Amino acid sequence: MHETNIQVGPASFRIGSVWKEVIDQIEMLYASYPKPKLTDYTVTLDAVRPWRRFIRPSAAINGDFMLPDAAPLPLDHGLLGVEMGVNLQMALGWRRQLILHASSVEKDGKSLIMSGESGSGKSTLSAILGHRGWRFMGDEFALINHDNGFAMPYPRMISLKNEAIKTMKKEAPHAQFGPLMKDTPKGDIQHIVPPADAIRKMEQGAKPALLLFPNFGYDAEIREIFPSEVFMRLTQASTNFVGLGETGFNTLKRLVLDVPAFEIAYQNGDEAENMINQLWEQL
Amino acid sequence: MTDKIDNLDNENKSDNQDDVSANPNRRRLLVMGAVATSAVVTVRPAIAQTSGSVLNCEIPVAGSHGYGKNIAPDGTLVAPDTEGSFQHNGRRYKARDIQRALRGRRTLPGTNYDQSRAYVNYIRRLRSGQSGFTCFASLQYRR
Amino acid sequence: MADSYKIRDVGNLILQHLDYMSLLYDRQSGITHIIAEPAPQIIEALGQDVMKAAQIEHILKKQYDVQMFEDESSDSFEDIIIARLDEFVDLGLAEKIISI
Repeated sequence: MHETNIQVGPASFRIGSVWKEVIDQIEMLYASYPKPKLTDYTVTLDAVRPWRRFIRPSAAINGDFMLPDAAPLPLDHGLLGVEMGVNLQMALGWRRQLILHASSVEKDGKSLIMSGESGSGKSTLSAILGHRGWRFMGDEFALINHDNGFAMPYPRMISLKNEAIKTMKKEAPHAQFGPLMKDTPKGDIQHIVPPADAIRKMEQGAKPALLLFPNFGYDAEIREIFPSEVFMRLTQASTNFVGLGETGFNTLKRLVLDVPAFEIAYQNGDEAENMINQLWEQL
Repeated sequence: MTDKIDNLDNENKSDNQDDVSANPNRRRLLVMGAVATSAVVTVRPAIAQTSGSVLNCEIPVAGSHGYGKNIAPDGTLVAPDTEGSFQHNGRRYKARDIQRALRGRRTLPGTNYDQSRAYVNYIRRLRSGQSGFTCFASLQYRR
Repeated sequence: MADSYKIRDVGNLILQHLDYMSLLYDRQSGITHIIAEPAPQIIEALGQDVMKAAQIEHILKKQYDVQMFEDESSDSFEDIIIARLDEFVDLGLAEKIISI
């Protein structure tokens, strides 16, 4: 078994794999991240059957927390397997903060949180803004502190899907990209290393100032959302709200009461950036 | 004299003037849903979502409070001759179709783009007590 | 005789008004409910007391201008309050004290 440790924001992981190439890819993408000695969770890629290590290699994702029906992936998609395994540890195990399935960026010490399901463009938007004067905080999870309500960064390597790959190659041609994984269960996937300041400041949280629910592919529109709808949506964007009990209730309640929320529809990154700047200036 | 303020307080206020004139001191309006309309939605764990298993409720567009009115692009009910507004026939749409339309993925069955948007905005404005409200509320829980 | 109702453990409920809906967190079960008017107002009217729906109606009418949403609805205010109270009973939040 080959292995390496990675630190993403407050969480740390031991990644193991029977295939050396997957660990090499992880070490390349996480080269500029701090390397923890102790880790919170373990994720491993194992051969489905011993001989499947060599013949049509197929990787089973294992870890401290597992889903019973998780399907194995071909080795070529090993990096995606690690990403899914790491997400699962956070989704099922993390309790130090309220987890929101959301991307986030920071400016002037305040954070913008963008929540939406796959395809909404939240991940791509955070990646774009990270190269346009904002600090990238995370493309997948926003971690909300229970004590002061701050959003804490979780700047893992950004997972780009389909058209977003081209968009980011244009936006950040000099950034470091991982291998292109074609035809995965999530489409074409390629990882990109976040900007250096995102990694350098990954222990610095920021008070949430604006909540957005982006919707990619539709005519430009901004709509304010009532707190009760925001609350309902965010309970469903949180993997640990129910498990956290009263602590989670109070953390989410405060976020919803304190932070204005809007839904934005947009056709491209420039349009979204304009709307975001407009809303940001009105705060 | 207090109509204006009361109307601002509640966009769905009907034109029942009796309540207002009977209470000259402006008091908060309490809106009552019918007996059969549940007022509670319970938060379920996000991780336990099994999409597609429970998508069986329906929302009429418009509900009975919209009889004889049209739906404006922003979803409000307006007089039938209002320019740019859409007629409706009280058709009941399935949760699955509404969910797709809410997320902007598809228009509601049998509608064009603008009409669908107006209908979806109507659904978003549903309040407790109006037909389809609990279906709309529970849609927030389904992905 | 009409039945009376009581909130089971009002000290362990957190009620937070948001807009047209309110949040209700039940410490006993760890469950969050999102409740629409007039449910939160009924809980507030009841408080720690034991009441019949008619008494709650009296309190709410003193505090609010009451309006029905669906104009043609023939449900009485009292029947609506009873329906909401029964919902609380089903959720384990309230108990019904049956009068004989």
